[in-house]
Amino acid sequence: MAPYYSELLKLCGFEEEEITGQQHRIESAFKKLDLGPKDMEKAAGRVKKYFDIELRGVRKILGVWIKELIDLVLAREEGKKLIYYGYPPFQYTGLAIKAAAAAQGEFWIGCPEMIFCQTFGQIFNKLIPILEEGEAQGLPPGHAMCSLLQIKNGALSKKMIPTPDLSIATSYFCDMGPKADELMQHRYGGYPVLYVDSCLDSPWGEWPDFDQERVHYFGKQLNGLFRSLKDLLGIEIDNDVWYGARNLAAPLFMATNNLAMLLASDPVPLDIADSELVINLPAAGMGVAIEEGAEAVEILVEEVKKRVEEGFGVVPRNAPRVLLTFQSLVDPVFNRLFSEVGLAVPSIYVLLPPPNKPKSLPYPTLGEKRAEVAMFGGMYHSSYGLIKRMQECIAFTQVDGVVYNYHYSCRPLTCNSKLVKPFIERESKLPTLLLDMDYYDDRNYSAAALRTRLEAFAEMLKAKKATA
Amino acid sequence: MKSDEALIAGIDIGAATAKAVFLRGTEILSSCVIPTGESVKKAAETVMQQMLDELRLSKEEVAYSIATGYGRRAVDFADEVITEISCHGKGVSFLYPEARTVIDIGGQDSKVIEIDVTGNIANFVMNDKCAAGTGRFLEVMARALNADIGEIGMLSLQGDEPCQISNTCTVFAESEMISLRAEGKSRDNILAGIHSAMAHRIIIMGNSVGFKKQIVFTGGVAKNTGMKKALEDRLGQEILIPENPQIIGALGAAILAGNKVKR
Repeated sequence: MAPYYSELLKLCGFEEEEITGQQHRIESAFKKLDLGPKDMEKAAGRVKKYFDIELRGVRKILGVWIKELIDLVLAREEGKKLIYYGYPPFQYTGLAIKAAAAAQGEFWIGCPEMIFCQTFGQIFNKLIPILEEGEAQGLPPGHAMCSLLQIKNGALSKKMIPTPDLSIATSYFCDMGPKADELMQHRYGGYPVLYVDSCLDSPWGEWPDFDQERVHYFGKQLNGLFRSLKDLLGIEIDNDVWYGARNLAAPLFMATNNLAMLLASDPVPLDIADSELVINLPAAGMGVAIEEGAEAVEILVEEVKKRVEEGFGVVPRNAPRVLLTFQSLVDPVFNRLFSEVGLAVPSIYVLLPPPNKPKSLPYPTLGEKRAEVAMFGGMYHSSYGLIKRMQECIAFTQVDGVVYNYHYSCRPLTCNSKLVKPFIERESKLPTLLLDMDYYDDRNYSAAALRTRLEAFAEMLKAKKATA
Repeated sequence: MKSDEALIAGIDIGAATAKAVFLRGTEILSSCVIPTGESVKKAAETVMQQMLDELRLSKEEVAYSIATGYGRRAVDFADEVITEISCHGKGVSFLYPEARTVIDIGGQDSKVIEIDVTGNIANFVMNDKCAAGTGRFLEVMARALNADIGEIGMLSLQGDEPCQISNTCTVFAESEMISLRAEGKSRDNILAGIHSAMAHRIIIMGNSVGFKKQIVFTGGVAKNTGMKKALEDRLGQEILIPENPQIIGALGAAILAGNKVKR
């Protein structure tokens, strides 16, 4: 008799031999995660309903997420050291650590809460008990606490994931991340936390060049991180390691970029519920997500290319096109709403790669060089920069409107929303819809209420197109 | 049958009330408003049947119908569903061709809609998660003050020293009412403060769309004269209110249904 998880794992692209060969690991991880036969049955139904599993690439990517989850959960007992970093991701830094750490023994490096979003959120729809545990353990509800951090707190408290050997708090953007890390450090055994800070105070118009003091400050923080990694774990990161690390992820980034280009077609060939699975692969873990993830995305690219050639779309050709800020990272019901109301999403803001910086200063240290790149490409270091990058995305994707959906407990994104709408409406002459939601916790919005807004926006764009 | 003679229906299933409007051409034959109750599906069937009975017509004689409102998807007999945002725009434009802004405050949501000359949406904003700024907020406040929902607007106009309402969260505001009563504040002044606070909230929300003239106020809350005054005071502009502001969504749905028949 096939094991209880067999159907789901096959739907998620596992090969038969992977299931039998990994049986002990799979069962051990699922036991720790309290995932039983009923969960598998429900998840199989959810995957069939919300994801385009006719596409082998989608199935494989779902599988990559489950493999990352298993690797994370078993990392400690399999003798690995764990380094956690927060979200927004520290992907190149994480890769560099992985590349440098290879000589120092086995490491699991990544963002555990993102893996929980994609698996316990998207696939199993079983995040609420983890969120509730995170709320009970010091990040209470009703205080606009970031749900992503509640997930990490809950998973640690429930002992679903090991306490790390090191946590890197990406306070370079979010002011809540380091506070929550401090709380978790205190609660779960006093593991070391390295804080990477930056100055977010950006005057309007500061992009693409930044105040040098800000670059130096952020760079100094990154240099401090590299020094601490050497002191704590013997991991040495220099220029060679850094650029070598980039090669590790090059296939995944290249495949993702190729997919982004294809999604801009008309008709749009892939639903955003499916493309969401791709976007955060580099953010999640530095193991199977980078290695098998690249292969899975390449498969998807080939399948989507075929769809484009055949003129297949998830919405009809000439449907109103919108640029979206971000999908829900846990809720395929929300992500599916767009195609259900007839809106084509040729891209989301974070999927399109940032342009090359026009000029770069000869910074003396690796930290400063990385800081400048991060500030230029990131969405957090300048509201003006964010909007200018949105305009570039608009020009590339030829959209009819913009949906700026923001994570309601995220102060930078919420404040930016009030700048984005009037600016895009005035400068790009495009209708802009603001959607107040939560990227990581579907209890904090009503998909039915958001549907009315999206449906009305679609009606408006259709009417405008008809009279244009 | 010529399109002008076709019988068309708009059905608006809101959180508090279900509405229907029947048109023949551009003539409003009749309209109906009933409480939604616990079943939106049943409310839709009831409001439709009441209209048919009143006009002595059969369902088969309705050439086209469009459902709108938060319960629109449960109206399985409708030929099409369209959001209440589009329908309010069309309904207002039909009655007031010069209108460019619609303020709609219903049972569970509030909206500010900018419309173009044809009544199509040009821009819109809706309240987010919170019930403050909706009809439900006023219902809860009326109950807390032991006042009739139909009278609170008039009572608020009698307040000569509106209370400062520091919180427009529905739950917290209810306890604030009790504190204010304990301090000896008059019911009229508390109500005047409530209306002013709610108007402030609507205007802050609507600023991202703007308030172009003419402004028309629709939805059940538009029957509240105190809210009209509070909005006018804060906007410094006159606000128009249709004779029956509750049926504008259904009217817009019927007009859109008529357009379908014409095609």
